[in-house]
Amino acid sequence: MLDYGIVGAVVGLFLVLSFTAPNFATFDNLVNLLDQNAFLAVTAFAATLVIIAGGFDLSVGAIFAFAGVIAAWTAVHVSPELALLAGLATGALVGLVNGILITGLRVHSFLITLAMGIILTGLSLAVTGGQLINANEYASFTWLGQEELIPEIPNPILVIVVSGLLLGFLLKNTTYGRYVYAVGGNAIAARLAGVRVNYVLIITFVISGLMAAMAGLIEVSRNGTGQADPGNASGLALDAIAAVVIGGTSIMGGRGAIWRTALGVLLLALIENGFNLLGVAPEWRSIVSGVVIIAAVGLNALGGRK
Amino acid sequence: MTAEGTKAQPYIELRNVSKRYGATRALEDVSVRVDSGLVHALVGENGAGKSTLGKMIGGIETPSEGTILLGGEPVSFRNPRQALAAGIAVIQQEPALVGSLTVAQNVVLGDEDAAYGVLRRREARRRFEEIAERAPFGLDPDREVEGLPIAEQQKVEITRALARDARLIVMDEPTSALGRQESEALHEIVRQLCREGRAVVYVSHFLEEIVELADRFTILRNGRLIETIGSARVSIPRLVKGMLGEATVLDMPEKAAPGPDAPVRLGLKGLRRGKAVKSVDLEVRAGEIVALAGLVGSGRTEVARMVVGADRPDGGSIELDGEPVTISNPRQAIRAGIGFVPEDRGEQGLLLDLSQRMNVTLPHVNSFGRAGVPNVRNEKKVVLDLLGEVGVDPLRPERSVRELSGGNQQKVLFARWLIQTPSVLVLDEPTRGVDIGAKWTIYNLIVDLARRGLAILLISSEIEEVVGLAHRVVVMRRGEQAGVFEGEEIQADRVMHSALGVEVEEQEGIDRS
Repeated sequence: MLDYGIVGAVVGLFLVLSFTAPNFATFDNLVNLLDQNAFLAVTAFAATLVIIAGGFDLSVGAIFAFAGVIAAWTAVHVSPELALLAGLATGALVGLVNGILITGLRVHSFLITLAMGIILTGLSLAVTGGQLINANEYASFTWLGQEELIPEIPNPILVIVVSGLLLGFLLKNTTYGRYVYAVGGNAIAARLAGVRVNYVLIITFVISGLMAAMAGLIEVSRNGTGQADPGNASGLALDAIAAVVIGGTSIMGGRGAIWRTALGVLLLALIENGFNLLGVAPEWRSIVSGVVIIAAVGLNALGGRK
Repeated sequence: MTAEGTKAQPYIELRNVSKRYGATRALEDVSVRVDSGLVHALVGENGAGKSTLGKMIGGIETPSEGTILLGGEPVSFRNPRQALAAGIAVIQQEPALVGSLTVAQNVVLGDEDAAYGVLRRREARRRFEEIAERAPFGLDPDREVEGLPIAEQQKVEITRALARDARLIVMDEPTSALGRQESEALHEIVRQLCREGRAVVYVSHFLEEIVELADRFTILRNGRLIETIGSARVSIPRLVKGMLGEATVLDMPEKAAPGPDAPVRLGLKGLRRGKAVKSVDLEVRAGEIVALAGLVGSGRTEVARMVVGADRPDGGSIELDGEPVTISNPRQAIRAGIGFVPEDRGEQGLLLDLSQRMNVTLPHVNSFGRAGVPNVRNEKKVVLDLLGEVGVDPLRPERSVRELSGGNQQKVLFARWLIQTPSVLVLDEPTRGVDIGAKWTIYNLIVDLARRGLAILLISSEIEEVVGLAHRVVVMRRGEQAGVFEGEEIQADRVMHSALGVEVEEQEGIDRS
């Protein structure tokens, strides 16, 4: 029963807000809520894979910023058409380096990605020189964040849906996904059963880098500018981990699902949005979010112990 | 040797104690009295319950039933700390020390001299030196424990026990990692402890060393007390007989030896790795069950790990169907047709939180679909059949492996190798921690797999399993091949003697006739 606590929490909060918060249950507000949290959802989806595989990726915030900077720089200096592609390639490449270092050096992913984040922050500053890179004039750069492929639905929401379905399928229905659970659940047993543990880990970090870059592109494309320290980057890694564990994915690896993370992101978003609409002071938002995280992991721990 | 005739003081007494873990019974109605000033040996095969008994005395395990009397008063230790307070210290096989602390810090660990939480270093040092004077092991108090040889670490443990003024010291297989000289040095220490009036409970399977050292012998078999005898009446044959019992061969499935023309599937030539495996040569033919017998730590598991690609050999070669092969990881081994059921199913074999289905198909998921997307419907059908075939009960393949009993978990591991049958199957302790019914099923499975033409390398500490199943037995002792037995030669006592490294002349005469 505790296993599905997150479903109850999201549905419950949604209902409460529908009745109490003015303008909550409106199409515009809900679209806006999703649009604003697209970057977190996309990052957290990939973080789910990393955590199930038994790792952490603390570099996603820095990848988020760096990929945006590279994309904006490419739009201005090379070609606006290649900008988004360059950003994605950057994220994938960083993920690849993360994966190779983690498996090659046999160091915990926590440490490698922490250091990688620091390096990338420096690189972002080096590329921008501390300035904004303005690429707002290029339509092929801004379409991702500003346009609507489906009327009334901003493209970032499409990205949430597509990436969620894709990663969910990858995790649940493919051999690779099966191996992700195996590696995180028991790497020794997985290896003895013939699973290429390192290979699985490397792919997982590539996906994480790719999705963090995608999140970064949504933001730069929306704003039309690339910068070394965008507001959302700093807490991204920890927010993504929080969303994953609130959903009920095990921080110890081996257990979890993408849909859980989707609900985890939604719960955090609902708290923020609802409190906003109700006019509650922002400090309370933080406090309640923290309490929710403790409640979620506490319930999971109790559930796991029975 | 301390004289047993002198008036011995009972230190601790266990009355009718039992220990159960779920369905398995580690100890059943055992009564033992340990007296001060004596070395009390606990002997038995692996799994006979001797370590459990030792741990119970030391407060590491609590009895499920029965009482423990200390100085005539019933006590119940809920943890090692309480046992320590009562004067009982345990020295486990693997020294339990904090590697990053120094020798002296480890000796006083948990009992530090402190004033209001602030360590009094000088006082601690003075106490260490006081103890070191009584037990001059030549330990450097400021050396970090990390990196000390096992023998030295054991001295630290003994010093620690003395620092607590332990009256009874339980030693669990203290010499298994020691060389001959170190072992003898340890024995001298043990004798010294007894002369000071302390009691030592000594758990070991090295019979020769025990017979030399101990004053009293408690023999256990399958968790039951066989007898306790004094040093005047002890002999190695008597101990072996007590450990093995009279009728050891249970109902084993009939052996069907392969024909003389069966091809050699697996060949090991001079295989070695580090100190654990000095040199192993053996062959397993199609349809043949070859058992690798020997004590824990004799190098059997290390051989298996090389064959299945978990570790790389330092030298020698592995041949499959007569061709030398390089196996550098488990994946290659599986591709070459070598399956493996590891020793510790929870740590090395299974993904406890995943479903039984996913555990069965893990090495072969790719064969269930194309482009990396397994066809789950097909997978479910195959797994259901296989789990039925190996007799997992109840049959619920979508439930997690964690929910299954040990025997059923083991069957899941066997089912794994029925999807694409390998040509060689390595089984490391396939019935460890498994109830009798599951044992029987697994024995039949093993024999059946051999009939189907698999070459089976069986590693087992259970002598009746080795004797009952194997067509050939290779005995290992301290990393080397100690003997090979075939056909009629495969007898429990002969295999056991070879594993223990004891000569029993009468045996030779009988079997050569």
